[in-house]
Amino acid sequence: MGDNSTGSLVIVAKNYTENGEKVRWNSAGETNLQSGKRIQLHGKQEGVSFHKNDPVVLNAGTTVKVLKVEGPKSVVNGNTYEFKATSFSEQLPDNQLRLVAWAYSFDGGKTITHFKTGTTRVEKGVAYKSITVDGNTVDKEVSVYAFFRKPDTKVVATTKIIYLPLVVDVYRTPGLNEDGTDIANDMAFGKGVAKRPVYTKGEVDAYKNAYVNDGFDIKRDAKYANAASNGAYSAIYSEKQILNTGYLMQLSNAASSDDALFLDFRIMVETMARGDLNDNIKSMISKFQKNEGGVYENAKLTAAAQANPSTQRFCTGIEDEMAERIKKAGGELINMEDKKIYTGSEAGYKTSHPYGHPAFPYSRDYNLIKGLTIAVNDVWSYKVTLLSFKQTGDNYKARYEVQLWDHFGLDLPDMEKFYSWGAGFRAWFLLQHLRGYKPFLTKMVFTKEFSGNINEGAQERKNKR
Amino acid sequence: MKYTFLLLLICGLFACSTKPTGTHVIYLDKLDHQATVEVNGNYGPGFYRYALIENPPNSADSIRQIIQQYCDSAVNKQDVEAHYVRYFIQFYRLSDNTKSYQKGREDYWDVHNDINQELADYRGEYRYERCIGDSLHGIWTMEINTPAGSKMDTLENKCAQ
Repeated sequence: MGDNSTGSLVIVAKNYTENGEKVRWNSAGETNLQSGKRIQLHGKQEGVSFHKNDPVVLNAGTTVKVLKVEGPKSVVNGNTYEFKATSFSEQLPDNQLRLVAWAYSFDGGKTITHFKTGTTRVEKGVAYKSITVDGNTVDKEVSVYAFFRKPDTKVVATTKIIYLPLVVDVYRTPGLNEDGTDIANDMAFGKGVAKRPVYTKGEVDAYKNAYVNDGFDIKRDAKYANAASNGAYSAIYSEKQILNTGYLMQLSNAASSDDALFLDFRIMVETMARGDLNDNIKSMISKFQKNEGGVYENAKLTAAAQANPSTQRFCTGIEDEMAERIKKAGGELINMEDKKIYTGSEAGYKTSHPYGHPAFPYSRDYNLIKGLTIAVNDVWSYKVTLLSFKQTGDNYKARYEVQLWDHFGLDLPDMEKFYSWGAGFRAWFLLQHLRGYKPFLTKMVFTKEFSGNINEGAQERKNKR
Repeated sequence: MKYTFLLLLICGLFACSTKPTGTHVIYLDKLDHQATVEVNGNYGPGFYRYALIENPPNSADSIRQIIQQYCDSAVNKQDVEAHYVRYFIQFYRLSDNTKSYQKGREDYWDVHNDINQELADYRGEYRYERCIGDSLHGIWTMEINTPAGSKMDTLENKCAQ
């Protein structure tokens, strides 16, 4: 624990003496003693006394006590907050309120530690203390005590400690289908022998729980990225279903070699991506050809996705949502965390998530020309996490992370669209579902900052735009 | 001349009268989606359906009436309760952004790939969901969403709790 009281101490002396059984200098305002020569104060036996307010002498017989301490309902670990002593056993002048001492406890009062630094600020009969919370993640609450002689465990302000990062919003789970019950169709692969379900309920539930709490871990979660080394297929389509996606599939591609199919795939993407994203899609196809599954990341792809208007609209929406939660909690983060994995089909989802999710379809924002459509098309899942939050008065600055996930694979509904008319798409579909090449996860991660005011929620922010 | 004028007037009136201006519900049968879904931690069969409303009224009460009337005739509630853990019909305004979903997945240019993204045109839903900890009963709700706001009402609650 610490506080924000910092300053300077300058003593330049030829002769400087302070002796005393009781010497006290307190100041929260102007105090000057200057002498060109001679200022002498001698008070031996009750002499010299100037005061505007009557002093309270805290001797052994004094019963003056702090009766009430107040603080915020929650504090963000690492941030500085003001606690205050607001009620006393008798009316005290401000210069005596500065004598209020402070202590804290992380274990409900079993171990109480006194603040050794910092001062008490006094204003209009209230004593304030700035405190920087420095708990570790096992500390759930901090208790702050204000007192004159020793802490009273009943005179305390107990506050919930919030540790960042906080999960703000989770939409679907990477590698799972839209309802989060089994493998996503476009992540399945094999040799035309279908078997469902691919994952058990227990496996899926454990994965979703780990993902939302700890994030995706390629070692722990390898099989959901098709990176497990057991060599098992996760086929969901039969050979008949695969070949029955148009007569062109049966006529031209089904008998082609793998190399010929990859050539078809590469020829197609030459027309669908430009510049950096052309290099990116080639890298994605190379990873697909290595048949290793896993997670694919590319800085240029991430930059293009972040800059896309759809993503920008999404970020504006999620910032509005965070601002709304802060406003509703009176400037605190107690309502910020939401670890539910939404699939989009829950009651009330559309009205509670009016920002949707980023998508890069052909017809919008020039995605086809830029190459985002072929690389990502529609972001499959996302996770938003609040990383930092600094409040100054009513204003705050926050930083958050956006994880966007997609699957580099095709499913049957894709082929039922116009995809089956393109040799490159047919080749991709055959390689994945009949030749056993593994689709993989595409991950795009970036951080953003935004600022706001604790009194402004989503609507107020919209009104200002 | 006056007969010519009269003929033109009648043709003009006829042309105006044939343009549909009423409210119609267009069911999007090609977007029907059945799958195993999760409801309150339980996995079971789900059925998701979608429809467009042509010329939807602005008032929430009027939209509620349209959805209610449509679902009263289109939904076999006993059958739904017997077979599904989640069932809904979601309604969207017919607009330039949503009209292509009438073609379902055969939309050549793949103009829109997910009707769930058309949030600006979302007008409400009629929903059934199995109760928490009760494998036999469920709750029917209706949500209405207009630019002025959204509201969800419970139509029928058969849950024990």
